Amino acid sequence: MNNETLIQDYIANRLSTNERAEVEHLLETDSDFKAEFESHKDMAVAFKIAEAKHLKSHFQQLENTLPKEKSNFKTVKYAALAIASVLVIGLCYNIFNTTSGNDLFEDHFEISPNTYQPVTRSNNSDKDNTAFIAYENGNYELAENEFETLLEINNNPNIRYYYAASLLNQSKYELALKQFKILNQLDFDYTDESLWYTALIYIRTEDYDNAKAQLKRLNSKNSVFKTKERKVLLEKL
Amino acid sequence: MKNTLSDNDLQRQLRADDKKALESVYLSYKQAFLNYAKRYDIATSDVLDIYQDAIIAMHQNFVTSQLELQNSTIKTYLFGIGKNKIFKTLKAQQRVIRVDVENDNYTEIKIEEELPTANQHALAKRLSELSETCKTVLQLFYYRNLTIEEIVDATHYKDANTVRSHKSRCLKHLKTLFKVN
Repeated sequence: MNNETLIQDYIANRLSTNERAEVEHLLETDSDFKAEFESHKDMAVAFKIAEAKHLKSHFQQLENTLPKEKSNFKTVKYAALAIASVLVIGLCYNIFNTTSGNDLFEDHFEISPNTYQPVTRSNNSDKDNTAFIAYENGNYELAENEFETLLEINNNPNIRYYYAASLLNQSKYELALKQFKILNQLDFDYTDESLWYTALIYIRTEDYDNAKAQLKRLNSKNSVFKTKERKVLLEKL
Repeated sequence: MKNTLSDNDLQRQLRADDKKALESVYLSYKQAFLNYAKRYDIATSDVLDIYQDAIIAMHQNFVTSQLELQNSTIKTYLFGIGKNKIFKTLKAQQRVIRVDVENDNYTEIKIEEELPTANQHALAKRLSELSETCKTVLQLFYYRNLTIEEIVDATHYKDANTVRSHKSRCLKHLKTLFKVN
């Protein structure tokens, strides 16, 4: 078997385990073989790149030709009617049944999980981990105190975020909001989460203008955090 | 699936770089994949992009490594690759990955992908400057990994020697193109 065939068979996965080992041995010991292998591989990869690009644009074009939605005149007319009736029903619903900010808050509030410093068996003896252990155990009062102590030593926005979350989880809304406001001026790991919780706190007190401002800021950042919930909320506010 | 072809037939067609078969796979599983991805906190436009990349990665594995799925179907394999790409995207966007999503029947499949070198990218660009006949013979050999004899069968070349000499002339030409630019 000549080198070229051997290399092609190797790349195409046609060799036995022994033959593969032989190629790998040659790659380590024979520099000419290695050079031949590399230039063969360059060609193979170059074709893969060119072909992938070609396929990608093919699929993009295919997407453009697929019917988006049936849009002949009849369906448009029915769609318009349907939209109109939804609007009318929606309007009546809004007049007779306004959801309070508190309800909206309750619908959307979820405790922020600890993703910053997951507690594992190996690190649960660390000193600064007490706060996160307390947080994970739902002991937010202890977590609040521990995070406060940590913040005195190190002004870390991620720690401040979990400090704010500890306050929020104890329904200390005003105090939490104060912390989130500090955080929203920074760019850090949990900026999106921070803006989201700020919006929820504003919603709770029915300060919808401020709530919308936070949600819109998330939109303008192209954030993918809670995309669906944000859309739903913005429509309701 | 209302495919008239069996999964094995389809796999055979993919190995033969059959673009029609690929397109039908693409269309058959697209909606299911978009629905599947809804459990992850990821934008729909990203999901379509991921789906296309997963289809391409899968297809190239069929073509270049003559992949034969033993205990799996095209769909399971495709979704496994797609799931891996979703996680990669989420990680790049620094989103939290919720690993324990319920009712998830798909295992992540990581396709070995070394990042192409600058040289390989440059070479890929030059390929478009080749004549169609040169491109075809090189593609059959380097991309589809057909043997010289298989190329004789698949084309109008009269024998193996003609294929060999044509291939080496085309390769030489490509190298000149590469040096000039």
